[in-house]
Amino acid sequence: MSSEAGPLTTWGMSWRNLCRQPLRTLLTALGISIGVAAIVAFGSIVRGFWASTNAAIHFSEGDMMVFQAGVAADLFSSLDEAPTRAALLNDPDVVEAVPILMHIMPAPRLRFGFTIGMHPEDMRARGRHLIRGRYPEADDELLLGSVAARLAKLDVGDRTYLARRHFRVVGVFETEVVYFNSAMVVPLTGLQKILNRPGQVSSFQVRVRRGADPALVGQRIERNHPNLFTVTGAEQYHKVDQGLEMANALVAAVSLLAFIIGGVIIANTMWMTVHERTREIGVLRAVGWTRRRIVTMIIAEAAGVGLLACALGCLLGAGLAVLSTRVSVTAQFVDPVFDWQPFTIALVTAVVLSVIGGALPALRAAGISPVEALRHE
Amino acid sequence: MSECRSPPGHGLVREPETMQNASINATPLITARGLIKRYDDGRVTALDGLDLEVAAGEFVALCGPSGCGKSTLLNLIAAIDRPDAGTLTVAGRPLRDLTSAESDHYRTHTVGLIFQLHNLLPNLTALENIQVPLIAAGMRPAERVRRARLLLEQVGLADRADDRPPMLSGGERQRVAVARALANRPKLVLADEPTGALDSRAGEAVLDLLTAMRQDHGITLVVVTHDVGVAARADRVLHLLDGRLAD
Repeated sequence: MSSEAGPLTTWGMSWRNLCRQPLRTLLTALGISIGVAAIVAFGSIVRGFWASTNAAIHFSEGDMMVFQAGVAADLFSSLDEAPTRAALLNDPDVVEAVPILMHIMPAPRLRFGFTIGMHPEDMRARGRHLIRGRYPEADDELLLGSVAARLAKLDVGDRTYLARRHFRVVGVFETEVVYFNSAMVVPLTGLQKILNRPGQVSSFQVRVRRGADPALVGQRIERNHPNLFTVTGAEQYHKVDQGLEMANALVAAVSLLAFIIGGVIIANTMWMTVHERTREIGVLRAVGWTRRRIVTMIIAEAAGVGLLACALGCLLGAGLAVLSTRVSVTAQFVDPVFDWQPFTIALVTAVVLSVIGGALPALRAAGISPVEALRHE
Repeated sequence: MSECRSPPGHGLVREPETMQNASINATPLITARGLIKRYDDGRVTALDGLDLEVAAGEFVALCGPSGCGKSTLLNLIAAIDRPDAGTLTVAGRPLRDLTSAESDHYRTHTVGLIFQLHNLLPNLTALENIQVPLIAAGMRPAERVRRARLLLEQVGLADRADDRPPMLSGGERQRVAVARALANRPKLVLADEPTGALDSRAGEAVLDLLTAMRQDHGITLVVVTHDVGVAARADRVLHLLDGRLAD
């Protein structure tokens, strides 16, 4: 029988060694993949928060949001509708200022009864998002976002209630903003009555004159009106809400935890495998393999486990993130974005922790005396 | 296994007819002077001022009771261990002064090792096991495969190239180990009980192979053995006792 096998390489040796104990390799990779999955799932969800926040700020060609200055959270912002709108429209570059009142209140079958109050004419100006029904015309009529309609099992013509008041669903809309899709939109005056906040709104969505720089307009508004904060992008949202920053910090904490746990798992496995293969490593040293080549072989094995863990973790993490859009607890505010960032972080984390986790066992292997190793049982 | 003794007509130094073997060069390949090796913080003396010369092309059998220092001497010549005192020169190179990188280079290019328990890597095929020292030598992949195949043919295992060690008999494994030891065309092959784990027939076959390879490749062969049959084939049989050559 003639052999068709290819040449053996150091990398090939690493691969063969990984295949020797496939179950151990798989279990180790699975252990690490949980950390990787957490990075991918949380990372893509937080990226989704950022994307949704950006989309909310720029919804229907808006350029910025305006809030009360100094609030702890966007929902606590309170502005006098008429004077603030007049002040905003007084700016030469502002062409539109849409008042919005936001609140969270109990609603059947919705974990978060996210409610938005807008004037019906402003709703109609955003008509392309209505997928069925019509716009509210009375204070006891509401629009439902597509996610809210699905979760609440409501559709056009159904009745529901908000804050112990009955409402009729007259339309369903869908936007690119998951927060909006999870919301109920009611006439602004009606919501102001329910909340006992006549003439009060949370924010304004502002559109500037074509050609004007929204950032400069925002700075001018803040300068002229110290009681206002302007937000032109998600990166500025921390001025009115720290939620995004906290989410980012959470991802960093999860990544660090995954890094530590994964590093320990891989170091443990590689330490065991080096111990079990002490005699073989002694043989390799005895036939002339250098310490560097031994280190390369062990690190390559660790990196192989890391890459496998990365692949498994990315699939698992992406699956969890997608699943979170189908579970009622999270579906109202989760819309993961699978761009390069969480996957790159996962890949870098997996490879770096593999190299670090494999380094100590590799150095141990390289330091093994061939004589002692060949005596090893 | 009976204790190895000099076969009839063989003293510590074999009779002139063998020494006149054409392949033996008068220049010593291995020279040891006052070689000392101790273990356990000096409590155990493995070699105690050993002097030795082995000529290039010579086949030397090292015999002696367990613990007399045979394997220690082999390890020192293989540069996988270092003497505590004395000088050991192989092919004109003092081994005690070698750096780690020089030791690796020496083990790759000058010495071939054969162990009692073959020590083949179980997850590699016969062909791949022979390539392991060739990787250390930095040989190009295609050339590695070509050389390994040639060696497998020479040890009569061309048809077992893709078999892993567990699929081979003890004798076949040891023949692969011989091929691996010869992979980098070493000047010197060191074998520690190469037939110790084999039945007599397989042991004979390995011995035939070693002696044939020695003739074909012009190598110097130093074999640690308890086997009378091995000693009978050697040019010289050296007896070690308490870390020295017996008188």
